[in-house]
Amino acid sequence: MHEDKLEKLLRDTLQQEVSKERHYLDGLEKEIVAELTGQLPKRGWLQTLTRLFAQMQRSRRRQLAVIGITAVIFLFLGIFVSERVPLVHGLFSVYDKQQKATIATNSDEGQLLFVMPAPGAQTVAVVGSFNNWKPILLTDEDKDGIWLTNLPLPPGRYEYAFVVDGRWWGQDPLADEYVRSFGGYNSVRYVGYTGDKI
Amino acid sequence: MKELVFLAFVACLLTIVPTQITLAETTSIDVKEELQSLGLRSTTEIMSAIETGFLQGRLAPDEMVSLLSNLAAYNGEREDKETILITIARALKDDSLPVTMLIGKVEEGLARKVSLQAIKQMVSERASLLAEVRDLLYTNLIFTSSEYGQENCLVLPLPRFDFLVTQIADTLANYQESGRSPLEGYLVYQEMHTRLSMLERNAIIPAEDVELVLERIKPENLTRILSNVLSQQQQ
Repeated sequence: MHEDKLEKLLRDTLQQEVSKERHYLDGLEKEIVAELTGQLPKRGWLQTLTRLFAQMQRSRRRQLAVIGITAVIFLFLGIFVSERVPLVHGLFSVYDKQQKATIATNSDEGQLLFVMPAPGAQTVAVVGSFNNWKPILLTDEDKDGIWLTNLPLPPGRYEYAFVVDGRWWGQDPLADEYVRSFGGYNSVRYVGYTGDKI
Repeated sequence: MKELVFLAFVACLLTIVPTQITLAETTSIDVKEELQSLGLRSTTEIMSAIETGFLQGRLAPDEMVSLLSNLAAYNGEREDKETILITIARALKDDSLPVTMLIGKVEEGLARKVSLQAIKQMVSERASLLAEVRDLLYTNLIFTSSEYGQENCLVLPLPRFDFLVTQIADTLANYQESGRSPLEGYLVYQEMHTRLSMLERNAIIPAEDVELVLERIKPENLTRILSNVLSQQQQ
């Protein structure tokens, strides 16, 4: 009985002491965590990615799935940007069409590409010395305002102009030179021999 | 299987042969009919020149039918149309000149819907230039006929000679139409040099023809030609 009293007295005294010093413990846990985090080295995005991929190496299927999803995201992002930004869209369209034309010119001897940017035009045609100045219609299948046609022509020097909704346009940026004719301009392109000379 | 291949072959023949026949149909008879439909007084003279052009290989029936039908459909005085055709006919028969450039300019003028007066003037100027350039080549011993048996002379086949004459005359005409002074001989020569070099670079004209012309023709020759044509126009 005496021991019990003594134990109770000790416990009460300890509790009183703890209660008295309790304010020291408030926030101590947070302080320790913050201190430990600050001491740890910061991980960059590259390390994070490396760690992520290292974890994924365990599963090849998961790896491929992530690559596929990333590719699809970037594809949609590219389409979104090119559709929303007119300059980028226009530049890529002209570049793409010229690239295709270059390939056509290289593979098919004497193919001459005519490109005319005319957004909103109803009809665009090319007239020239290659067919007695009769209009040949250009097309704009993807409706991006860039009209084109590819004509097979024998080697020679050709004068031509574009006719956009009935108005003559004789200064093609792709021309080799320009000449004055009937008070207007004609563009000139040369189609060369790639085989035997004349 | 053999039957199928045979049927495919026959089908191809049936498709290709009529197309070729249709393409080869245009003859001098069609040209004559088109010319008569214009109702001109000089039909005989013009037709005779056109036939000469066919014989020399300087004209093709298709290109003449196209020119005559476009002229017939064009709104303008009959006299102006006749003058244009007579200018071409005389250049072809009397002066023995290549007329492809003249026909091309008439077609261009009609397509641009310019007046027949403007076309008439341009054809006349260019015909004079063709004659002057041809004479210049002759005086510099560049010929198209073997009857000139002189030393140092070059005899070119007719298509090559015609092409050379046409290109030089066209360069001079373009220079004149750009409104620059005919007295700037060096500039005119530079234009001719650029044109012939571009043709040579694209292998459209033989290098020896270009070298010969650039070596024998001088800037003062070109100035004289332009001045002659200018004074003819003023008269």
